[in-house]
Amino acid sequence: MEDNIFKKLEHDESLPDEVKAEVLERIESFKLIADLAGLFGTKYLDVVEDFLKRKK
Amino acid sequence: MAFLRRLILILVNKKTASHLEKAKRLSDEDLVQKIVNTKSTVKFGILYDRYSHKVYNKCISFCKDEEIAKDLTQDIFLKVYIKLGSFKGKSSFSTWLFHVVYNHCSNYVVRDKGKKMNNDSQAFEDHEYYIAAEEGVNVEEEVMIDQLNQLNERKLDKALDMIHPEEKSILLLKYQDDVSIKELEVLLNVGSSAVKMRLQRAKIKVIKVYNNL
Repeated sequence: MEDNIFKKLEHDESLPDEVKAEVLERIESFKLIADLAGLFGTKYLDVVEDFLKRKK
Repeated sequence: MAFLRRLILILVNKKTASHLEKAKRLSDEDLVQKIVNTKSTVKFGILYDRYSHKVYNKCISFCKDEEIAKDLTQDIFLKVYIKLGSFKGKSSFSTWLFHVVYNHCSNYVVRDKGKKMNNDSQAFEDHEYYIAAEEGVNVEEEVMIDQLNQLNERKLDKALDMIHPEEKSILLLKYQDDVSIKELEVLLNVGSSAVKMRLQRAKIKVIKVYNNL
């Protein structure tokens, strides 16, 4: 039985540490946007509608 | 007052540290559940530490460029964070993750690099081939994987880049990541015979491309 050639094809490069910080930062930004969208899209929808009406 | 503040800080830090230590000992599936419930970025960082190396290297195997692989890795982990709630535990977490990775990389190769599928695939649309593959798939599969194992690594790597990325993905899932046929059925949402047929088609295709190199 030969060795599994697909295992030999696996790369083994190291990923720079700063990528983790960038990933977590992007996730925090996504969370913030999602929270704001949730806040003004559902909880304070009336406030937004009033604001837009008044502007008109 | 300063002493009290320092004491509180030490206690809070100790508590956070012990929570982190506990989270580090959790299985992937339990950790995912915790992240879904708490949306904790810190806990997601633990999951990142476990898999970032593998994800990054899988990206390299598709795009062959470390800078692009870094970007793909970032995109994939953001996608994983967003989609984490859809992981239902029907396969292991690593299998689910690698499937997300391969899908993302396949899309990248097809869309952004404009790699076209090899026209040779037409030869495999032959009806007789389908019947033959369906009937003798188990026997043929064992013969075929032995055949693949005897090939030249660099040439096979090149051949894998020349077949459709979805075919490359299914081969890597099965033979590099040791994903079972049952798990592949769940991931691809098809029956076992369809999974075996796709594997068989991918293997025949890669050997054909290899022989033409």
